[in-house]
Amino acid sequence: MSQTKKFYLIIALQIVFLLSLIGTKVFTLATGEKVLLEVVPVDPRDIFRGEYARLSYKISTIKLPEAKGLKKGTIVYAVLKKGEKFWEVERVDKIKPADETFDKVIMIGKVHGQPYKLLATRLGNLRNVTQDGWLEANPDAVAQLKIIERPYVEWKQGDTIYIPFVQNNSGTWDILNFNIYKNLDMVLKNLSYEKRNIVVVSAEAVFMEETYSVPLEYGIESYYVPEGKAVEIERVRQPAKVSVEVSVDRFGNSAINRIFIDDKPIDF
Amino acid sequence: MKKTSKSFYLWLKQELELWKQEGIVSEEQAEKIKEKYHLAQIEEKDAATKLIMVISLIGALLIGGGVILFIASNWQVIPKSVKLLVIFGIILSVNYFGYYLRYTKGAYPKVGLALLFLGSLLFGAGIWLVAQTYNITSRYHSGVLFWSVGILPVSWLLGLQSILVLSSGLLSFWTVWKSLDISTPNYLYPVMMFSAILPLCYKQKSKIALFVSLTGILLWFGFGPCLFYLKPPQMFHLLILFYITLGVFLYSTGLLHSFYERLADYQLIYRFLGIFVLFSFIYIVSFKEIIMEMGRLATAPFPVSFWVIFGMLILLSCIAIGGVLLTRRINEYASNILNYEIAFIGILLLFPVSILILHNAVFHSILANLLLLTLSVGVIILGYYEERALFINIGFVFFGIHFFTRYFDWAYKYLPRSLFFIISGIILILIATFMEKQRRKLIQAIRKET
Repeated sequence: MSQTKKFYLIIALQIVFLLSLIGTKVFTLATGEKVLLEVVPVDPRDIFRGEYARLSYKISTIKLPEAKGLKKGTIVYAVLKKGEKFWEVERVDKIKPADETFDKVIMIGKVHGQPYKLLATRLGNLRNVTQDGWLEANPDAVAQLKIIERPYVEWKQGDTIYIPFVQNNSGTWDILNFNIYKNLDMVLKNLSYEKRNIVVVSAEAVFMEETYSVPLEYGIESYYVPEGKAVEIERVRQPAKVSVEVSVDRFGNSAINRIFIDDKPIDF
Repeated sequence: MKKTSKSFYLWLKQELELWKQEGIVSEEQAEKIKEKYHLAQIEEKDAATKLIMVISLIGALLIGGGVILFIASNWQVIPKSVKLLVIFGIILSVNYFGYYLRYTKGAYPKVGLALLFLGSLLFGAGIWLVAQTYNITSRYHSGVLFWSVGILPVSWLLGLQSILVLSSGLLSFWTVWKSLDISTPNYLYPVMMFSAILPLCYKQKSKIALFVSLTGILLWFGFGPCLFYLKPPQMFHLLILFYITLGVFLYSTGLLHSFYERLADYQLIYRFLGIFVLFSFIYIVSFKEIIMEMGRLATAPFPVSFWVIFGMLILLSCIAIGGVLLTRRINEYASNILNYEIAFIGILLLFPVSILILHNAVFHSILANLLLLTLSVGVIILGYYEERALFINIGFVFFGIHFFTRYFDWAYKYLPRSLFFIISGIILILIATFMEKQRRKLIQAIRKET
């Protein structure tokens, strides 16, 4: 083969390669199951491709009873099951699971940080401590009190612990997770600087177990937008919700299909 | 090692034209003479030709950069599918015209080269456009790998250095990015470097590509095995010991190259990098706090991985020095100064071993400063012997850096600093006396001969 022919063959192969890159994504988008995922967005810049919104999904962090054999870079298969609205991770396998039922999809992911241990405490027997009738009057706040997850805790199963809540400017109540102690005086002393309203309730550590938090990525964490537009997605904060429709093909590859803000598809 | 000066070529070129006009040589004979002295290749390296090449390559770089920025702006007026079609069209046409101008027509080889280089940049732009269009994750290191591998065949087929440099640089960028991102050493990189890129550097006789590739390998070493097998706080200090050994290895490999006529051209790259690495890392060790910290850390047990890597590096350096010792006997180049070079790099190789075994901060601190001084003065002397302005210049720069660092160093008290300067001065005067003696001997020998 002459040099000229070889040269054109190489350039043709370059184009074929680019087309195959497109082809795999088009295949995923065209044949894949459409899966709706819940998102928390932030925004940086990319040196080659300009502005993009970085998407962190609810399924980007999973909890497992053990993280044996999972380290940064490990490829995993996440089995997703449709919840009420969004799809959620049901379990994670290191080898591709056999045929799944029609209501599940398998998505290839990669562990992108070191898994870390968390202690989950299930709470029960809630009681008002500093303000009578507060628990009964704030069911939304109480709903946060089912499980507390922390890297370490000072209490044991069966102990009574004191949980402080703080009132935000919007009027909602949040748990001060790192100010929970077995000793009420300790809680109050630690929060003596706090200017906002504080309420303390007590609860019993009914059940405790170890879980591992594993950060995963699926290759769908970036959404590229025209210059200046990333801020629009970035500005979306509570109570507006961002969600993403992702196509997952039968090989487990995924690609972003559409992005929604408050359930309305946006298009740049 | 035969050296022919540039002025000789210029003179020969002018004279040949004159001889032809005067009828001393025929057209055919003139061509034969040109061929014998590789005048055509020399012309490629001619300053004016180089300037045209550099200007057109910078032009290509600007256009390529502009296209990538245009893609990054994600301009919404043009639909994505049209953008993809346009980039494919541009890649094809730029490559076509580049090839046409350089080879088919041959009238504008430099512009052709610039277009072919642009074609390789645009291939990368194509990858990033696809990645942007289909929202492939922002940490898409594989994109850089694909870019590097995709353009390598063009360089291989057409022997284009600029594309080889781009490919090698991209591969090194890929390994650093990927290693930092997924925190695991990348072993595909050295395989690709040693099996494809480095052989191509030699095949294309490209010193720039060799320099870029060796720098990439040095970076890989730091970001690869070292970063992930050594744990802080020992990591940084052990890395210094590794790099000193690597510097010795590079320098001796350079010396080995100098013994073979075919490889002699590349010796400078290895030796320069070797000297640079050695100076930089011994300079770090020459700070009192660092050497004290190293001595303290050396008493704690090291991970097995450290001994494996360190042992391998020492072995490689010993093999390279052994190679130099064996080949110098059969080589005409082997000058008087070579024995001193070998002795000095041998001492440099013992230096990191000594730090690990002796744990004596004061001794090593003095030794590091003496080695640095010898290194910078030695490089200047080498520069004079081999008529290399580069060595003389970097020798002076090293000397200056070292001198001013020690003069203003707060960690050393006045007395040791004053002693350091006096001893350094005495050493320099002794060296000068020795050199003067040698020079006199040399002149006398020449006189006797004549």
